[in-house]
Amino acid sequence: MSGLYTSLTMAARALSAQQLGLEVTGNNIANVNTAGYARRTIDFAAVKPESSLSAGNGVEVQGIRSIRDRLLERRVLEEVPTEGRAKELTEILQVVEAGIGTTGQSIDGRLTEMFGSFSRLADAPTSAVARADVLNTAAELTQSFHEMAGRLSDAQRQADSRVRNTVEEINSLVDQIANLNHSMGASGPEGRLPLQDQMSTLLRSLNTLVNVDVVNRSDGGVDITVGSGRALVIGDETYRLEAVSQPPTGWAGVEAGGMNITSELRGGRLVGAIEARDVNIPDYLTRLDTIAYELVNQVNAIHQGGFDQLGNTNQNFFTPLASAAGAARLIEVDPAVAADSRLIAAAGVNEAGDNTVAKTLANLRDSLVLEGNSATLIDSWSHLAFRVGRDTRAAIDGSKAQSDIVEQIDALRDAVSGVSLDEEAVQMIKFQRAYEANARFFSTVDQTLSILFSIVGR
Amino acid sequence: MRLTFAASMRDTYDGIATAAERMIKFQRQVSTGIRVAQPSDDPSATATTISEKAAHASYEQYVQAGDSAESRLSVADTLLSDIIDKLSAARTSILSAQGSETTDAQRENAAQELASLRDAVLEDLTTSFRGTYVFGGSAGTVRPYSKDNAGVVQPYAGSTREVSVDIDRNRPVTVVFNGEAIVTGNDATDLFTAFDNAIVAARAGDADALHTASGALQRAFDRASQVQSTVGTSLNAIADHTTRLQDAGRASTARVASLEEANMAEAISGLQQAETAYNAALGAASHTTRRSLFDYLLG
Repeated sequence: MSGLYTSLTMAARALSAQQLGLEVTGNNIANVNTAGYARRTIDFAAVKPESSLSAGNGVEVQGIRSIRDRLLERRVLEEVPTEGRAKELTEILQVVEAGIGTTGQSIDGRLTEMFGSFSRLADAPTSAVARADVLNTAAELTQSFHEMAGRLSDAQRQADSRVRNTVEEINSLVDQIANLNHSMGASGPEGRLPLQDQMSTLLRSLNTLVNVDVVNRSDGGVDITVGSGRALVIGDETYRLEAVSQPPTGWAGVEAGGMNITSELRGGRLVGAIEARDVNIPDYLTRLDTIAYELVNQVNAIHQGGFDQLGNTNQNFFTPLASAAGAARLIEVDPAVAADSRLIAAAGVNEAGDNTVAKTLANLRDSLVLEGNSATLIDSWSHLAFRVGRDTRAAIDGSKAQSDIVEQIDALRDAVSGVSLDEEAVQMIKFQRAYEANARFFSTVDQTLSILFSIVGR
Repeated sequence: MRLTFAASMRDTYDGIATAAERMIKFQRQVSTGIRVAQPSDDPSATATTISEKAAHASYEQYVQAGDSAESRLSVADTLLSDIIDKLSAARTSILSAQGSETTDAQRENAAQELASLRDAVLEDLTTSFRGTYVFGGSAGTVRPYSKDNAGVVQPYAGSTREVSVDIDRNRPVTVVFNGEAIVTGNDATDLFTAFDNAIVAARAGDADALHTASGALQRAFDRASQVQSTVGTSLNAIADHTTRLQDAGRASTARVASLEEANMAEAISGLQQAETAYNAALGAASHTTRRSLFDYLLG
C-alpha cells in the first residue's frame, strides 16, 4: 500500500506528463506551416503498481513520436521528379513559344511579303521601285530568320545555364543531406525528429531537381544514389555532380566521378532542362535551318537561270550556304545583289522586260519543296509552330496532371502527418483539463497531509 | 480522413488560383477578341491559321496582279480599238483613191490621209504604260518601232516574247504583246510598208498596188482584232478570277476568325461564370479560414 507521499510524487509526475503533452501540442501548432513537419504525438503509459494492493503509480511518458507514413513519403519522392521535369520543360518551352511570334507576322508573314514582292516585280520587271521592294522584303526575311534563330539559341543557352545552376543546387542539397546524416548519427532517437523533418524536405527538393534513389540507414540517415547507382551521399560523405562542357557543342554534361551520366538521368528539373536543350530546341532549330537552307537553294536555283538588267546570268540571289546547319543564322542576300537592285534576275531571257524568273520566284510560295516534296516553305513553318505549340501544351498538361497527382499524395500524407488545428485545440483542452485535475489531486493530497500534520501537532 | 490545416490552406489556394486563372483566360479573350494568342492555346488551329493567312495573302496578291493586269489590258484594248479603227479608215482611204474618176487631188488627199493614219498607228504601237511598251514584247524599255531620218518606219525592235502575269494559280494572262505579230504576222512585209506602198500607189493611182495594200491592211486588221479578242477574254478572266479570289479571301478570313478569334458570347458568359466562381472561392476561403475551435475557445 502506497502512502500519501507516493500519491504526491505520482501527481507531480502526472503534472509533468500533461505539461509535456501541452508542449507537444504547442510544438505542433507552432509548426503548422513548417514544410516537411510531421505532427508529434506523446505516448503515455500507466506505471505498473508495486503490489496487488496498490492502485498504481500514475503515468509516465514513454516517448514523443512523429507520425509518418513511409509509403506515402516514398510515393511523393517517386512522383516529384516527373513533376519537376514537366515544370522545367514548361517554363523553357513557354519562352520558346513566346519567341515564335504571332501568326502571319513572323517568318510566315515575311515569306509571304517576299514572294509578294517577286510577284510585283513580275508585274513591273523594269521598275526600280519593284526591285527595291524585293531587296527590302528579302532583307526583312533574312533579319527575321536571324532573330528567330537567335531567340531559339538564347533559349538553348538559358536551358544550358539552368542545367549548370541545377547541378549546383543539387550539390548544395547533397551537402546539406550529408550534414544531416552526420547530425543524425550523433544524436539520440528523440533528437532525430526535427532532423527527419528537414531530411524529408531536402529529399523532396532533391528529387524535384533530379530523380535519386534513397536507402534508409539504421541511424535514421539516408544514402543516395543517382542514375544507374552513382553515389551522391553515403553517410556523411558526398560525391558531387559536375556540369562539364562537352564537345562539340559546349553544352554542359552531368558528370559523376569523371563519368558522363547525362543519359542515365531519368527525371527532375535537371532532365527537363536537358531535354529542352538537347531535344526540343535543336529540333526547332533544325527545322528553321531547313526552311532557310531550302529557301536559299530554291531561290538561287531559279535566280541563276535568269538574267539581270545588265545581262548577267548564273547569279545567286542569296549567298550560297554549304549546309543546312546554321542556315537561319547565316542566310543573307548576296552582297552584290543587295548593293545593286539591277542585279536581280527577273528575266528568263536577256530582255529587260521579261518576267519569267520573277514569276517563277513568286510561284515558289506554292511549290512543294520541303518534307519530301509535300510541303511549301510556309507549310513547313506552320509545322514548326505546331510542334512548338504541341510540345508546350503537352508540357503544360503534363505538369498540371503531375501536380494533381503530387497534390493528392500530399493530401494523403497530410491526412496522416499534417497538423490539424481543431485536433490540436482538442488536445490542448485535454492536456489542460488533465493538468487541472492532477493539480486538484495534488492539492487534495496536500490538504490531507495538512490535516494529518495538524492532528500530530496538537 | 483527417482534415489538416495545410491541406485546407492548399485546397483553398488551389481553388482561388484555378478560378483566377480561368477568369484571366476569359478576360484576355474578351479584351483582345483572340482565342488563340499563342501556339499552345491550340496547336492545330495555329498551324491552320498560318496556312490560311498565307493563302489569304496569296489571294490578295493575285487580286493585285489582276488589278494591274486589268489596267494594262484596258490600255491595250483601247490602243487596239484605235488601231482597228485606223486600219478601217485606211482601207476606206484606199477605196477613195481607187477608181478611174478619182482626181489627183483626191488621190493626194487619200495619200496624206494614209500617211496620217500610219503615223497614228505607229503612235499606238509605240505607246508605253508604266514604263513598258505595250506592244514591245519582253524587250521592255526598247521602243518597238521608230522612224529613220527619211521617215521610214524601221523593222520591229521589240521582242517576240510576250509578257504575262499570273492572275491566279496557273492562270497567266498576256499583258505585254508582240507588236510584230500584229504588224507583220505571216506577211512578207509589215503593216508600215503596206501603208507606204498604199501611199505611193494612191499618188500613182496604181489600182493593183492599192488592192494589194488593202489586203495587207485587212490582214493586219484581222490580227489586231484577234489580239483584241484575246485581251477581251483576258479581261473577262480577270473579272471572274477576281470574284473567285475575293470569295476565297472572304472564306479564308472567316476560317481564320473561327480558328483564332474568340466567340464573344461564349467568352463573356465564361468570364461571368469564372468571376462568380472566383468570388465564391474567395468567400469560401475567408469563411473556412476564419473558423476553428480556437475561435470558440478564445471567445
